[in-house]
Amino acid sequence: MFYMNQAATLWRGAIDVGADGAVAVPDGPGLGYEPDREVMERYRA
Amino acid sequence: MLITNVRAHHIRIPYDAGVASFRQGASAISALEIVLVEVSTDAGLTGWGDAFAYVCPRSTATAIEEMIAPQAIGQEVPDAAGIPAFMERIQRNLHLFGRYGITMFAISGLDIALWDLAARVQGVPLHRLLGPRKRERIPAYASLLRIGTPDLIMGECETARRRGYTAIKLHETTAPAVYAARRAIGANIPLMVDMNCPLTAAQAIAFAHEVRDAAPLFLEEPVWPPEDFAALAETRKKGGLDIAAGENACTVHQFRQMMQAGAVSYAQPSMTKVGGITEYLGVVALADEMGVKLMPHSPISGRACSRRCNCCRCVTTGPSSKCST
Repeated sequence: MFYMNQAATLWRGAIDVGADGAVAVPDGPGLGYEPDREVMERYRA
Repeated sequence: MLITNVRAHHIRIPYDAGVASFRQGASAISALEIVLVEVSTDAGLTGWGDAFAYVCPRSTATAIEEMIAPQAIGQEVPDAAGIPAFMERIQRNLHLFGRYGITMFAISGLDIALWDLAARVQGVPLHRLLGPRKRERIPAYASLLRIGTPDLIMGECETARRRGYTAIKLHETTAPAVYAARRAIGANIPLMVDMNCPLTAAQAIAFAHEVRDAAPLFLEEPVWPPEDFAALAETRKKGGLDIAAGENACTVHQFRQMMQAGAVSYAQPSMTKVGGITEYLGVVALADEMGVKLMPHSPISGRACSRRCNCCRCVTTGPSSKCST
């Protein structure tokens, strides 16, 4: 993961790296989650 | 079920990388440029993908809306088995406009959204369509942006380790930088060195010898140009270190050329560039066939991390690869 602090995340923290240095495999349908519409609108270019 | 719309969303999220900086040539990259692809259907289901977009978000978004959307709107939503043929038709229709670069970034975004849709139609995680899951969590590495100063690199490495990361990647091109990182993280933490294509083969071989005692897991893209697979192979053979490359390669066809040249120990397909999940899966199969390790690449949105978690063989077949950028 790029080592940086983002102003927001589109994925509601679902892909954050945990204290064990790992990322959870999503369980939801499809890719596992949908983008946060509020973040999309706030940061829409 | 019919595809009713394909829309590109350009999202720009600022970031703070502390002492590090992020540049691409003359362009200072001050925010994460993300282009999401939304595929709508007449059944109300939506698929999401994303297309590589840093420095080029408006170009990628335009390609999606001008070139990709007309190829998909009105078509039946393909199931997983049908996606490769669906996408090959689009690749054939668009081959005049470049097999690599913006066109393939846009194709990648649609492909990913179609795989998302295919799994949503069945109500299952995407990885279920690809094979049995072998793990619940995937180790990630911290990909440090360019810092330059050895003392600052040491500090960032130590901070990343305290935050839990079990492997570190640098974007540095000097031996003191590499040795500083190794000193900071100790002998047992994997250290990768991404060079972003600056050197000739002779220079890369010399650099490999210079940093060999720092024991990098691999040098990534040490030579210019990135498609000079003979130079990469020479560096790999004479430098004494493993070589990784592939973030700038598109389609399984170019990865085949790369692997047949003996250019890489680690292949790094980027799902948002290579042609999406379809081409990515082709690279996975090819890597297995050729005995090349896989280190999937996805730098920006983090969305690709989900795709890796869903798609890469570290989930479905469980090798030692890490979740990477």
